[in-house]
Amino acid sequence: MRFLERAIKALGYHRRPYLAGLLVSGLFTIISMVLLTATQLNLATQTGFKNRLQQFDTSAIKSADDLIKSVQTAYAGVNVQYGNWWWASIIALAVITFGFAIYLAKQRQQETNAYLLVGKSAPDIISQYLLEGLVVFVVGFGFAWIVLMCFTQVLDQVLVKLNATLLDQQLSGQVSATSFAKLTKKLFAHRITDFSQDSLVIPHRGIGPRPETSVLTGLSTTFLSGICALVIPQTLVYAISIWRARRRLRHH
Amino acid sequence: MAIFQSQKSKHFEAALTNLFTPAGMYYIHFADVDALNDCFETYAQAFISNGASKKMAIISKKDAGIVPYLTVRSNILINGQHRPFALVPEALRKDTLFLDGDATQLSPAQSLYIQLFRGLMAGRQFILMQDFPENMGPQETRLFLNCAQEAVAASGASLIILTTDNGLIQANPRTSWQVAPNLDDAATA
Repeated sequence: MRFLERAIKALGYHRRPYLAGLLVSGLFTIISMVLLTATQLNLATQTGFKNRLQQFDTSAIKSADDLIKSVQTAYAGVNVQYGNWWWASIIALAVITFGFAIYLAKQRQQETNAYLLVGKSAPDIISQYLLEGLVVFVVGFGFAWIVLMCFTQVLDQVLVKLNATLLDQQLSGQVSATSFAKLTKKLFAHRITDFSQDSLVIPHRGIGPRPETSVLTGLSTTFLSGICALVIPQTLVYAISIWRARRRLRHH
Repeated sequence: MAIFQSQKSKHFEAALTNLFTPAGMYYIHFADVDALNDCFETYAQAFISNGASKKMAIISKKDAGIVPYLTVRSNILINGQHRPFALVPEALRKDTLFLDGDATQLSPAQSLYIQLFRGLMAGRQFILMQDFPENMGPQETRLFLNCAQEAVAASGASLIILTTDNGLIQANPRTSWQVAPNLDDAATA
């Protein structure tokens, strides 16, 4: 009970840095969930592409083998891109947390000394500081999630555009626009499909059935990875800070 | 190693019992502040190195160890409540404005009371005090000593005051030392 009281009171006492922590947590949640939802959308588009190919006969698919391979490589490339960005956001959060913990550990030197002097153990002090960080993250995470939920329609439109742009970029590295046009024209020659040439790779672009609006995904992945990116650097910094404070107290 | 540690701790505990029981107030005199501070650190280290840190609380002038965002009451009870809160003098106990206010901007005397009752509430048997704050007047000092005397007698704890005030030594010849006893050698003394 006293432990919780300490953590809650400390949150109020250090409200300025924790407010910054709240913003960072919210921002990370938005970035991570957007990227994970985008990955999901890209995978759904890729599956849709495979399904659309089934409307062509085997000989047509064989003749368009190079085109199909290029498109598949482009989808995989976009996936890797999203993955890299997601990892970058996790690393950025861990680095910011590391710097933030160093700053806070310095700010809390006197407080840490006080806890050590009354006989609190290092795990007890670290647990309190970590709990404060986790409360801030959970609140920031919750707010960001609510914000994202309010803008799912807008988010879907943005993600569709982003996915299309990235696919175009990846495809242009694989095959030139003119040869792509030529190859698709050949594939579609004398074939009846429920989609147009433009929507072969990106269904939103042309005529034809469109995938459902993407559902916000990555809630648990974002939550767990965010907690890991917070707990590991903070534990490290606070443990060193307490070890140094204890040494100072013993030798001063 | 464990057996050796345990014997060492037992030897140290015997030394403490020999020196600072029955429960009450004990005074150790120092000619100057530097010698007093050195002894204060040596004694505190002796408790830690002999595994008796849970038996001891300190009252320090420099590092009061008071958490500013907690209330005075929470600071007093920071290590739990192992003794009745009634040990705290009535005047302080009824001053809820002070007790439930944040422990910031405390006077040295207020800090002294918080540290004393924090140690007693934590159930500590020995409380090591690093003299009185310089700006504490004789009346305030007397008031603190009376209050501490009552509290330690009621709780079965001992308050060991390291002081440069020779008057306290002369007033308490049976429970004071002119030369600080060595805690590690005192078991057989």
